[in-house]
Amino acid sequence: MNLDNVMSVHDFKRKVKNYFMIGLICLSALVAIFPLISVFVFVLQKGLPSLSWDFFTQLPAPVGETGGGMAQSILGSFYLIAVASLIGVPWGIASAIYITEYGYGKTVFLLRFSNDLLMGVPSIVMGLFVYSFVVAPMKGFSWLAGSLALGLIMIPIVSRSTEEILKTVPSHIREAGLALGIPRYKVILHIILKGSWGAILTGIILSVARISGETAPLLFTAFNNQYWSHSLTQPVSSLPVQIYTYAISPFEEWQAQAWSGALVLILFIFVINIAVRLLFHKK
Amino acid sequence: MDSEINTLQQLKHQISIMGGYVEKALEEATYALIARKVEHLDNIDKIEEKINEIHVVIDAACFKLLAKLSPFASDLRLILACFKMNNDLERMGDHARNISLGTRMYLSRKEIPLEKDFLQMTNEARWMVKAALDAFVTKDAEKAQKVLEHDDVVDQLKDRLTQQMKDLIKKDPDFVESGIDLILFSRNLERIGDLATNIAEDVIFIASGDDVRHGGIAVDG
Amino acid sequence: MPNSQVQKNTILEVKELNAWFGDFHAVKNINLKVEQNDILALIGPSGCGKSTFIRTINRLHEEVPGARVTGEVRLLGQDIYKMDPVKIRRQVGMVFQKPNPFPGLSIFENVAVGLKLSGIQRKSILTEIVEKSLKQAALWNEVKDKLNEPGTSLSGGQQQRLCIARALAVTPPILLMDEPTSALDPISTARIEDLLQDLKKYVTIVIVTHNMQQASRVSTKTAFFLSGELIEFGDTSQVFTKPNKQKTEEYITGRFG
Repeated sequence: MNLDNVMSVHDFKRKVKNYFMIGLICLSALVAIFPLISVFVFVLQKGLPSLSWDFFTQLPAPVGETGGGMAQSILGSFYLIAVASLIGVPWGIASAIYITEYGYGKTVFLLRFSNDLLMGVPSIVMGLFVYSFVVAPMKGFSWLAGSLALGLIMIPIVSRSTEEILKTVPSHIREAGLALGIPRYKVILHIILKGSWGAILTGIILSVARISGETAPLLFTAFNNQYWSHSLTQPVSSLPVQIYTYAISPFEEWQAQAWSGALVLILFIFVINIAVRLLFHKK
Repeated sequence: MDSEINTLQQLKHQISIMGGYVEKALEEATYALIARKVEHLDNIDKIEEKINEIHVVIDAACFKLLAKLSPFASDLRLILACFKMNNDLERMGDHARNISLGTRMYLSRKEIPLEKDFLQMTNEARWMVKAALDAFVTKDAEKAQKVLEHDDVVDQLKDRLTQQMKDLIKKDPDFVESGIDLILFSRNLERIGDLATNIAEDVIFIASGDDVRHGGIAVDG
Repeated sequence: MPNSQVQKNTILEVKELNAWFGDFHAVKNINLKVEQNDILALIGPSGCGKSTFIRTINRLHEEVPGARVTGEVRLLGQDIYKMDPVKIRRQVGMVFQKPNPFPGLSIFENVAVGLKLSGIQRKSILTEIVEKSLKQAALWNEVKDKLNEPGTSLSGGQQQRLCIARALAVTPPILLMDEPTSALDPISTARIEDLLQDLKKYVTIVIVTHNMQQASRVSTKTAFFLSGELIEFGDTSQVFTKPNKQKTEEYITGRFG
């Protein structure tokens, strides 16, 4: 009896089923990346025409005049992110260290739960919070208030990502450190953090990418500025807020510039994401 | 055939089978001698063959089990003891065979009426072999201890018997050959008793780990 | 025998030691002594308390939340539970079940880190001690040309020897090993077992092992633990040929456990 022939009918059915399923999976993948691609292409089309060197170097032109750029917003975004990181990164890492290295039982549960809640708080609420406790008492919008709002958003993100990384360090590594007669805090600083620094940095950079697009909390805190501003206590412009302002304006030129701003913002976030993956995910 | 022995239980079983053959050989040889029935000697060669066969098999099995099981404590002691008992049993078989070979000659010579002492010696030696093997099968250190106590009895009987034969030969030189035969038989029986003692000592070693040989000399490490 | 005439120094003495995890009584009333240059093997079924026991010797046990210890552990005569745990741990080396070189640290740094973080910074001293420790751990020839490569780049057996070197670098009088070869292949295991015989000259060793052949091969003393109790403690040659306790006999002949 020729076994090949007997098997082939069965084989054929199975192959057809297999190809069908593979096709279905590919389709699902396409559906998932379609929005990303379409948004990017759309923003590229709208934003590219008015993108020029001036956009990165010039202040906004008064209404009616052509040209001008968003230089102060780009710089402002960097200012805001830098100070927000100074607040969010140490705080987040400290929280993660407490959760993984020191706390146990209910404390850890409570901390992790409140981190989750904080992560779930809408960013606009964070803005309102900072408005009531910083902007109102100081009687004015400021770089500091904006960074504070962004920093608060960063804390749970940094904390969670750092926690996940510290959790992957096996407990016997800590014990090996302790067993050498190294005090616990030195074990954490010189052995645990040193060993996982790359991965922690990845988490931090991704949280920077996350806050760089935040608009709502900045509306009540950093507000906006059409001029250069280098003072912590003065309102400062940022890309998202400037995009928002220009996008809702009635002027076509401003709207076009808003698209360029959006493109720059998206590219910035893309570059960060790709760079992080290239740098730290070689394994 | 050694591949059939894969556990300590099987090893013990083979030793007891071998012990059975040795007992049988001894029984046939002494019966032929005492009852003057030469036909009982015919079986002994076959039994000897069996004993030699098992002797080789058990040696190989001990070697294999030591390597395969890397045994500890009582398991280790059991294998080592079986290894030694195997040799002792084989030697016993040789002595039984010596008696049987001698018996053929002896029965053709001038008959000496067998004294009570000789009969007692045969019984003692056979009892010691049986008791030592029983003690091994049931791991009975107390019974093994009793075997040790009987060793002196056999030794004394042998000395007495040898003296009797010397006296007999001096009185009547016609008894030279059969007298010497009986001296040799008692010598063989005494050796069998010694070997049974060895087995009893091995049984005590298996059961308690104590080496009771030569009055129990302490060994370090 | 002439051997027993030599007066050996007691390195470790444990008296009425008990250890708990919360309500669980893991180690019950242990008394034993370890002498200089001994290799003590701790054997027993999983969960018998042998690992917990060695973790009380460098006070690592108490790092677990809810853990508690009573009794005395004397290291070179000093009661370690009346001292600073950090100082104690510099006198007690430990090697773990899985090779665990510190990630992100080079081979050199892995060995030097214990000294560095306890304040020794002089490069010349560190270099000297790292070389000495790696030689003691029989790893020097394999790594002397790549001291700056990460410790984690080595093979499993090499990593474990690196961990031994790391523990030896602070020159402890006693070295604890918690199933140090259970994650290694037979050849790496044999290398470490050979190494123990050399190390015996510098350091007293307490080794936990599940492998009874290993215990009988490498150790001079054996302690058998069962349900947190020390059932039997004696010369290895005695315990493995003629154990005094029925439970020991049953365990080492594989009747249970």
